[in-house]
Amino acid sequence: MTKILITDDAAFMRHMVKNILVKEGFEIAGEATNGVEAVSLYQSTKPDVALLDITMPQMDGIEAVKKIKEIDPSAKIIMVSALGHQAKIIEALEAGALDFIVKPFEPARIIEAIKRVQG
Amino acid sequence: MDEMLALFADETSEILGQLNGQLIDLEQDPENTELINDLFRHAHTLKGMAATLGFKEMAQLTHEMEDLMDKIRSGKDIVSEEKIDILLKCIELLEEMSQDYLNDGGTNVSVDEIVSRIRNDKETPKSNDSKAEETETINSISNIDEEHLRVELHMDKDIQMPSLRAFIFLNKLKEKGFYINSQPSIEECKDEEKFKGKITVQCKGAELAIETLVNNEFIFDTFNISKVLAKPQVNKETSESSVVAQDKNAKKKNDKSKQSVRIQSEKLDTIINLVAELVIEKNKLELLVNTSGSEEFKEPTAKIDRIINQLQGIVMNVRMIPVASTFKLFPKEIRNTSKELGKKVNLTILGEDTELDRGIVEHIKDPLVHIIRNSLDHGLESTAERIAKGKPEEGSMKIIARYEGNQVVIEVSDDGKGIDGNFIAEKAIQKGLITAEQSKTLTMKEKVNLICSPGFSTAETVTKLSGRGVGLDAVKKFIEDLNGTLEIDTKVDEGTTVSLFLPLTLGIIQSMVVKVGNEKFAIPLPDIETLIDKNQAELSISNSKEILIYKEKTYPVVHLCDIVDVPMDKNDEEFAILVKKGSKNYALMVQGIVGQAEIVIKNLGGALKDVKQYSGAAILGDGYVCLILDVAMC
Repeated sequence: MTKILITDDAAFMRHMVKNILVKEGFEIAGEATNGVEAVSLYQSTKPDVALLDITMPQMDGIEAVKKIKEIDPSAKIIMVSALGHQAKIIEALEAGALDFIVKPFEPARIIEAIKRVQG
Repeated sequence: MDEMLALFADETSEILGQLNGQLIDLEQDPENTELINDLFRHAHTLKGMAATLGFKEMAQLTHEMEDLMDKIRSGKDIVSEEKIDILLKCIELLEEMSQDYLNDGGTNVSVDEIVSRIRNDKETPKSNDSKAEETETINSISNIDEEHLRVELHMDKDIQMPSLRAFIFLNKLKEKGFYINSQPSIEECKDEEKFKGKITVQCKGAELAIETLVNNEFIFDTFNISKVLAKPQVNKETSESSVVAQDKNAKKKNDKSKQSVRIQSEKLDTIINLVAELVIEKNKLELLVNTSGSEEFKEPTAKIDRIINQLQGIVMNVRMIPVASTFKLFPKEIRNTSKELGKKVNLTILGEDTELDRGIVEHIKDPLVHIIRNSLDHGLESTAERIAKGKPEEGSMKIIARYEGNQVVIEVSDDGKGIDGNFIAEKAIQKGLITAEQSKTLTMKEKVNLICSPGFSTAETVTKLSGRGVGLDAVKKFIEDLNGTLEIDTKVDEGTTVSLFLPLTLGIIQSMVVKVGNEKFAIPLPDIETLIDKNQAELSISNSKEILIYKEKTYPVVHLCDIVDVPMDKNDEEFAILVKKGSKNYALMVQGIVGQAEIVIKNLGGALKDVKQYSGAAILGDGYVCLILDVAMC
């Protein structure tokens, strides 16, 4: 089963994503509330795919991508962002993220993104 | 979905509270990048949440706020007083919306006006940051005379941020070695505005591989692959030579913030109730062990006792939250009000860490706001008046929370003109609240307290601010309903302090347990003035009504046995409890006193729910269920 790490500073968002993923039969590797937590959870849970919010306290998503990529160059990371944050997403992609999804989520989009990065 | 909505409302209010405080801080420190980043992030988080639930108005407004913060962050705009005003207004609207969403699932709040205010209030920063000119580099492509694939792709119209999708897709082709060039180029895809939804790519490699890749993207509506003879092509690529400096410093997180878990308050209440019941059963067990049990039961019972006591302590503590969540709203409130009134105020807030039951913290906001407004409006003098009196130009206002015994005291004090008891008494006579005769017997403090009588409003002209139809009487009643009390301490020309004395928890109250026949009843201690032996007072009849005279004061007499309908001989009554709650002040005759007890209040259900003289039920240590009297309704 594909293990996914969820990262978002809003509990609401994490809850939402979790619902969608669980319904689709994914396993939740962990839930991180900021970049620092995401990096350490990535290390300890070794998820197949990591979802990273871009704007977060402590360590933002872009920094987190860089740190995770240092640990695991083959990490599959999907950025989560609101519409319009083109520049930020590009920055994350250039740092090694593979894909992005846009808030508000449509379940299908999340699943597609996960398939894409695994494909 | 309800659960989601509750989580949404909860988190929204938490974030809005933080935004409020941060905006006030930002006004003081307009170049604090950390604050600006936090504000941006909070607006962003709200936007994401609102959009997810389809709350368009909120998503739109937070988007505008985020935009504005982004401009400030990138130096394209600056923080001004007007901006702070606008952003505070935004928060007000967001609060309103969030309530509406929670209650009605939609909102009538219109964001058009505020959005146009945000957009129109643009200032250009003074610093003329020299933007590096965009440089153009020309890349030419060398592969000539080769058979290539030409792939025409049309993006699905529903795809969000299509240019970025194209960017990722083209990069994938490049990574796999298929990519030669494209129209638009990879770099051009970074520019959202120029992207039209159509890409033409020149590729090399197997048609099938490319087709598979395209199919796996889920982003293309239609595509068409054809073979072309490659021609040299000039591909313009613009590269950004100026790199925006990123604030890479990891943001310092407030050290005080602790790991917390969200829990529904009903669940918590259930736990509290269960623990209360556990305490009662434990008491019964202790009784059994001590009277009929053998020695070997004693030690484990004593242990259980200790554990349950600890458990009770912790569980009651779980409901406690710092008053900070309510206090943090005040700087904005005071700023707005004083600005409106043209008064200068220096605010001091102390004791924000003081903890109270969650329910109380949530409820005291409105009463406190009312008291604060009163103080700003009627208490503090105008600047001119203050100068004339030789007072500092800037008025001082203090909001302090502190523990006092098993109560929390919240004080709102100002150094304004104070309240003149005689003036209040005169007004009360004019309004027919008291007679001139009665007025003469009142102490200065009692005269001042008339301000809390129903129907009293001191403002000569009711102002928009404090005269909103609710007087101090409503505030006082509200506090009393929380089993608290309100006190006013004032000195003419020196200032006024309004103190709220609040119980630490809502669930547990100190009470006096009294007896009538075989029945026991609890009376909350805050409602009791004093307890006297019947023989200490003089009983008599006036206007064919029973009265009790104690220390030269007359009280109407009420017999508890009549109220609770327990037949007994009234000569057996031994005590008189002088009770006072709201406007009621009388002598309650009871047969006996069982003692003082901390009782856990439980709401009444079923048949007793509508019996107004009871405010709830409590379970006593011996397992006996007793009703709690609401003396204001007897």
